[in-house]
Amino acid sequence: MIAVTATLCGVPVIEYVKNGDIISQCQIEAARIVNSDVLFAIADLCVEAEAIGCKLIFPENNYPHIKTRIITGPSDIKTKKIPDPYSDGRMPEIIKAVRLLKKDADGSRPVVANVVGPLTLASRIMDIEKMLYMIVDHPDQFKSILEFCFRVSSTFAKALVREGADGIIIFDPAASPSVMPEKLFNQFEAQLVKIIFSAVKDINQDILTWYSVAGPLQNNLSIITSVSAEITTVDYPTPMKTMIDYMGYTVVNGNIKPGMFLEGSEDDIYREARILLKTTEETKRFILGSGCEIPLFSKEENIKALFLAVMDEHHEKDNLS
Amino acid sequence: MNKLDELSYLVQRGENVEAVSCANKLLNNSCSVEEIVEAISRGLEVLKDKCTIENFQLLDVLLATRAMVEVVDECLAIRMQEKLDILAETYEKTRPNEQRSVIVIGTIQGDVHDLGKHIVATLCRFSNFKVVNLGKDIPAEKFVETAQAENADFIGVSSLMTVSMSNIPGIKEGLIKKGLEHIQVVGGGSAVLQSSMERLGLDYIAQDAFDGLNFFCKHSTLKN
Repeated sequence: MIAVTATLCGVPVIEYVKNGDIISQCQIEAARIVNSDVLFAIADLCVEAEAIGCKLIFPENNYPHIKTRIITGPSDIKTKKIPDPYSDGRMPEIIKAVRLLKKDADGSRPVVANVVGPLTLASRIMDIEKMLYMIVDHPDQFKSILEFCFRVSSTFAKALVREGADGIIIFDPAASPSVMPEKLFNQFEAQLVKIIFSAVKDINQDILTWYSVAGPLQNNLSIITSVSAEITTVDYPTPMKTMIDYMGYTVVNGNIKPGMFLEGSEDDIYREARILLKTTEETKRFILGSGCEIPLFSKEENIKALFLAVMDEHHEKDNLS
Repeated sequence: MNKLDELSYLVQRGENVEAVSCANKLLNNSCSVEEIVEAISRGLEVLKDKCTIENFQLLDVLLATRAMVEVVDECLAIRMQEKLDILAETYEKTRPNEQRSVIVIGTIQGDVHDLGKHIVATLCRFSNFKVVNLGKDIPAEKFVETAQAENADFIGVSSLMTVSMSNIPGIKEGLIKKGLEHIQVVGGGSAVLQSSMERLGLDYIAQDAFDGLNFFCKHSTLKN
């Protein structure tokens, strides 16, 4: 749960994404309301792009988006500096959220922070269409941009871990198999994501590494193992049974349709959750959740139904044993 | 493989530079514009058959459409003086009784994802539709106003963000208020795919770019 915690608490999204105190308060309060297991020190997926210099538009009740992209070619990147997580853009607010959540949660729940994957950051600081053409037409030029994005993501991730985050989730929607072939993912992104995870592990061996890539994965399964994440969020188009059969050592998280939290009923969510729990009952390496994030303005009773399904599943198993 | 088949293959592979070179050679060897158009369209048809919901890849489609656009822009437009309308002229010559259908297309207010919609617009242009591309973050009223002004047959609306979906039903509501319910509204994008036609006031939900194009073609043909 990211900014849906703000909508659950009746706080405008614009206030949530700009303020570490409010992120912390909403996360704690929402966790109390629905009894969730993780606190997310996360605002949105534009934090790094803004810190590099992109101008954003902040709607009152939606996530911010990029107004001005700053990279048109590889030469532009030479004039950009790696943002300082303690002073640039909203990065300091996210660091503040990590510190506050760690203090307030007091070990009761893990605090997970995020960075975007290098490829996704590149797709934010430059036009995604131009980026995709550059990958094919001028791969070496693109690599210089990607290298810069990797350094931004890596620097921010390490700062978040030093400030106490228990886990780092890398959101990487632009690396989705719906966007580019698995071959290009492996050529450009997989190794960089792996290095970021390795770098945060060097700071704290117990840090939880978590990867979230959107889209159907059933025909691109090596994406799951190539980045060496301990948890992988699986989007709703991927059949969970396929994932369980393949997943190797990673823990799979997912994958109820996010839209169902908005448009479905609590019965719908409960039923889907129980089906998923049944599908995955042979393994302990499964975390129930939504396919992508739980959307803004999701109904409170729908989110609660997700957690109720888990509790009921546990009670039934306890009774059987 | 003859040269027209080769052109078709190059477009399908997204080999833009080679496709332009091949098209120029064909034109210099007395090939007609109509034959070139048929070959590049065939290239995209093959790609269409390869794309399924599980296998759809934006990059492949993007590269193939770029190759098509470059063949038209760099080889055909010079000869006919008009860029994309060349296809319509060619088409209308062979099917004089058919009128071009009009599609108003855009990304709904609250969402700024533009690329998928851009691809659909390009595919539709190549299939002889007149496309009015409104861009992104477009209010429902703007879709309706433009559809009325352009005497449109279809509205295509895209949404990748679930939070923006609540703005989509306003399109059908606006059409009904103005007595324009004959205009069919087609939705696409990952957020739309998670909802239903009834909830969003849509006449169809396209599973991908080609599925949307198929719907427009099918219903356009029926109209005529």
